[in-house]
Formats: sequence, C-alpha cells, structure tokens
Amino acid sequence: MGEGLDPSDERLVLLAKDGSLDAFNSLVDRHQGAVYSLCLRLLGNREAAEDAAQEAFLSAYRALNRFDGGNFRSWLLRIGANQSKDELRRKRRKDATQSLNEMFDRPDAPLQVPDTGESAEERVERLEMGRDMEGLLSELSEEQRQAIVLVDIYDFRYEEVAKLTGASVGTVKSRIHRGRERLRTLVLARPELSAAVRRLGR
Amino acid sequence: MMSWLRGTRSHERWERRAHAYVDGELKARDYLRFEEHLESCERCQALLDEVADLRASLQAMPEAEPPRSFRLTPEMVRPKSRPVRGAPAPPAWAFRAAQVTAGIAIAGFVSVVTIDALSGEPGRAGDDAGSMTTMAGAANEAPVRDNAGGSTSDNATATDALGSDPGTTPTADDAPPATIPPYTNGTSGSASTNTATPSAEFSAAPSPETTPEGPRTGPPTEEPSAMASATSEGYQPTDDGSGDIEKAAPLPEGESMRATEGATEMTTQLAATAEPERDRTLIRSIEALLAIVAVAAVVMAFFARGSAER
Repeated sequence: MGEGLDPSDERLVLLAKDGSLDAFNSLVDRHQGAVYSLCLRLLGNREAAEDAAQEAFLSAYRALNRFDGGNFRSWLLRIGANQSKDELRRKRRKDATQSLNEMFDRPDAPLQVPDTGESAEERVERLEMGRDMEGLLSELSEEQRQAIVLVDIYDFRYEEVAKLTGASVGTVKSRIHRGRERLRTLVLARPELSAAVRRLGR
Repeated sequence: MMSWLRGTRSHERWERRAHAYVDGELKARDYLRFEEHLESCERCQALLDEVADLRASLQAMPEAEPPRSFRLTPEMVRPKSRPVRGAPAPPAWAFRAAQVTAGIAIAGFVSVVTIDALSGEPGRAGDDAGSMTTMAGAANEAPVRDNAGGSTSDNATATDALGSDPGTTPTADDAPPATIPPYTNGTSGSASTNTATPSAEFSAAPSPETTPEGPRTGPPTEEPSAMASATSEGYQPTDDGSGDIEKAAPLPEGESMRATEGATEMTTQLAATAEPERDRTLIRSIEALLAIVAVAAVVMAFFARGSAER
C-alpha cells in the first residue's frame, strides 16, 4: 500500500478501540475509497452507495470491540457488503442502475490505482481498461454482477456470498460461471479491450 | 461413440471445477484430481488463463473517489437521546406529585380507618379490617399488575425500536476472509441483553403480588404492603358471625328447637346490622378507593425516583 510513515492499521485500530474517534477517522480516510467502491459496484447507484458506506463506518465503529485482528480492510468490506444488502432491502431502489463506468470516471479525481511499478503509458492503458470493465459489469444481471464483484474483486468466499444474497452456494457458483462467461463474451467483442486484458495477464 | 458423449458431459464437470479451482474453493481430493486432469487438457488450461485474466482486469479497476468524506462526527456516534433502558423518564414534577398524592391518600385512608374502628363494634372493626386487607390486596395487585404491564410494554417498545433501527444497520462480526458469514444481528442481540436487565428490575421493584382472600376465611396469608399490614395487625381472626353459625350447625336433631332459636338469634343480629351495613359499604368503598390511590401514588413515586436517579 505504500503507507510508509503512517501508523499501521493495527496501531490505529488499537487506538480506536481505546476510544479515539480521531484514530478511527484516520482508518476511514484510508479505506473509504475501497468501501464506497464496493457499495457502488454492488448497488449500481451513487446515493444508495453513499448511504451504505456511511452506515458501514458507523456500524464498524460501534462493533470495534468485535474486531479481533486480521485484515481490517477485509472486515470493513464485509460490513460494507452487509450494509449494501440492507440498503437494497430497505429502500428497494427503483432508480435505474446507473452505468458503473460513468460513476467511476472522474477525470479530476486523484489516481487511486495501486502502484504496480508500471510505466505511465501502461498506467493510462490500465485506467482505460478499468473504466471499460466497469461498464461491462453494468451489463450483467444484478445477481451475476454482485457475485462477480464479491468473489473476483473482493475475494469473498462462496459461502459468504450465499449468505449475503440469500441464495444457495450452488446458485452462487452458477451465477459466477455465467457472469464470467458473459464478461468473456463482452470483452472478446471489443478488440482493444480484449488485447489490453490479455496483455495484463502476461 | 459412447466415450465421446461421456467425454463431453464429463468435461463440463471439469470446467465447473476449473472455476472453483481459480477461486480456491475446491476440496482437497477434487483439487488433486483437477490438477491431474489439467496436465493433459488444453481446454481447461485455456479456460484457466481466461478466467485469470478476467479477474486481474477486474481487480485492476480503480477505486471510485468517494463523493464526500465518510468520517464520523461525535454527534453521529453519540447514543440516541432516548434512554436505552426502559420507558422514557417521567417529567421532574411527577415525583413530587406522586409523593403528595401518596401522602394525602395515606393520611385519608388511615383517618377513615381509625374513625371507623373507633365508632364501630370490635367484631365489625375486625371484619372491616379483614375486608380492607382483602381489598387492599386486590387494590395492590391491580396497580402493580398495571405498572408491571405498562413498564413491560414500554420495554417492548424500546426493544422494538432498538431492534429495528440497528437491525437494519447490523454491526459486524469479525470474519476473516477464509471463514464464513460475517453478519449476525449483532446490535439487536446486545440491545435485547440491555433491556432484559431493566425488565428484571421493573418486575422486581413492585411488591410481590398476593392472591385476594375471600372474606371471612381467616387471617390474610401475605401482607402486600406496609399499609395493609398496618391495618391487619389489629385484625383479630375472631368472627362472631361465623362463630355463631359454627356453634349452631352441628347440633343433633334432638336439639332442633335450640338450633332454630340460635338461627333466629343470628338472623336478628344480622338484620340489626343491616342498616349500618349500608354505611359500612360506603365507608368501605371510600377506604378501598383511598387505598388504591395511595398504593398507586407510592408505586409511581418509586418509579419516578428510580428514573430520576439514573
């Protein structure tokens, strides 16, 4: 992550558990991009994602005593996923799912792409590819998108996804298979994107 | 031919395993079997590559920039103003009002009882004390039940409100990625433990309930309140009316004349008391009313003070 001189997550968590709201807010700064992105990808709607993300951090703060160690971001992401689930159930958002790539594409935003030691050109290409992929995600069905986002981007287990979405593990597997198949088809239909994806893997 | 068909069908199985393999979700035996298959199957090797590329491209997607900061403010974090435990606190004047009411009612009750006792016959006084105890018992039971019921339903409301709010914003369980479902209703669980305690407090606080005694059945078995015990301390379980009946009842037939006389005597006695009975009824009603009011006021004062102290 390249945080360098900042205190590690663990130290901030200890301080936050001790009651320091400031320490917790430092953690919020550090992880809010990831949590918000997760909510946005799951919900496909900016307002819903904002609500879910805010509630996720509030919920996490109140549940700090139950965090026993391990990856703090993973823990936060699970809270975010659960909040998104509740947000869906609570508000039954009827707004049309906005296009994900539009929501993610903010030209003035600082780059939040992980630093992989690539060249500037490669970085630009990867950003474009990322934007295109977000757009493709929007073309999946909601269930497939949610399964793919949780498993392929955030490394959730099948069982966790099953619990979150109220489906069986078998259904989750089938959504993942079909979702990947669909994405593959969509990527293959776009030669430049296809090439970029292939280059990424090599 | 058959082996070709079998091959196609079974290869779908391998493809499903390929997906699970990428996700690290294959069980140990299937994992080894799949790796063996992989060595000789180009289709599966290609599939694995494609899925891996797809995942990498998805993971390389940039994060969205949050539209605002999600930092928490102290106001957000502060617990809700409504007290977590039990019913909303009654206003400050309630305690004073309850005290005054209790005082007046007790004073009125004691004075009426005293006047009654002094002006009536000893037996009658005992009767009245007995029935007063009965009524006090009944009266005590009624407001106690009401209050317990009231506080329970208040508790229920509080629990419901707590349960529904944080229920929709559940707190997290600590779930490392390798294990399973993150979320239980962590908040509502703790909310119910919070309210369980005040329920116990509320039900313990009111005086233990008594069963109402039938009239003229003997000394009261329990003293529901200090008031009732104060009056019943003077209560002598002699009951001249029933005493007469008891004496009259087991006479053998040979003594029927005397039995009849005894019965007549008793009837006369009862008739003689008929008129003052009406006054007695009125006084008893007043006493019962005062008892109810006094007990209710005492109980309310207790609750009000209890809430104020919290």
